[in-house]
Amino acid sequence: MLKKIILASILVALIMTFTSCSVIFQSQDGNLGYFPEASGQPVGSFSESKELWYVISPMLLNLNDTNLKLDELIRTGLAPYKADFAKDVKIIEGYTFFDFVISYFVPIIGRETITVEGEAYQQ
Amino acid sequence: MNNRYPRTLLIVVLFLFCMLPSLFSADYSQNYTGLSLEFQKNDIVQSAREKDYLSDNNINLIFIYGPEFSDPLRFRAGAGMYELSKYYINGGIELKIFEFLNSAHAKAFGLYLIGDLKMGLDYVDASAKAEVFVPVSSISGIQLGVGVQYGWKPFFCLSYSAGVYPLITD
Repeated sequence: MLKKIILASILVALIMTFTSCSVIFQSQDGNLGYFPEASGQPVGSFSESKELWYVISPMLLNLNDTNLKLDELIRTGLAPYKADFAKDVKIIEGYTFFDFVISYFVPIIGRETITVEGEAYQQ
Repeated sequence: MNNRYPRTLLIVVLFLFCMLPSLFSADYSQNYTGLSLEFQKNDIVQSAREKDYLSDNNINLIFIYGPEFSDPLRFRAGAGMYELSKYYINGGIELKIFEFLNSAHAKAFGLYLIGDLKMGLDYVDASAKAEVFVPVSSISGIQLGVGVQYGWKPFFCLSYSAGVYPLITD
């Protein structure tokens, strides 16, 4: 019995360790695509940030799916320019100082910030 | 046939070297920020002999700051109490032996050597310890350590710890 408990504990620890190291990024409806032939006029650069709330790890229990709706952030960034598409998109994931304090002092609940940067283009 | 491997390895190393500027983007602060809530059980040999596990312990809350210029050395400052009655301030240094960060530039695994000095009105102590960090969430983890206090008394330390290179957004 003790052996089973120890093995189960090790398994849980391993799962938590590995899930705490990675986050998957994707778009909500497939609007995030790679079109190297797309051409247009550059109209400016954008940078949009949004918080991602989760329990223990975004891979275990994601509370607002910010990492899975990157197209929303890109669309928000393109809107002021009335742009049609984005190039050189860069996704940055991290903890601001405020995120860090919340995540540390509120056990289990975590908050990080996802930033999407890129160049806006008009066709 | 085997002569191809060094060339392949060289190409991989060059590729990784070219990737470095994009991997270490300027969007992250170069200064480390950390917090640690520590429970320290003192004089574990004597405690084990007397089966007295609930007395002779310290609880500390430590802020850790690692500026870029002092890397791998970090500075520790905080406060704590001995046996829930004697209060003190804590200062120290932390030497990063090795450390892995996750994709959000938070501490994911590491080994540290730590020196602390605790000073209060009725409590003074100095200690040195080695700690290993194991993650339990995307940002925080458990840090386990052993060390010696002033007088070469061994102790055991268990911490709830976290550390990041904070993201700087506009």
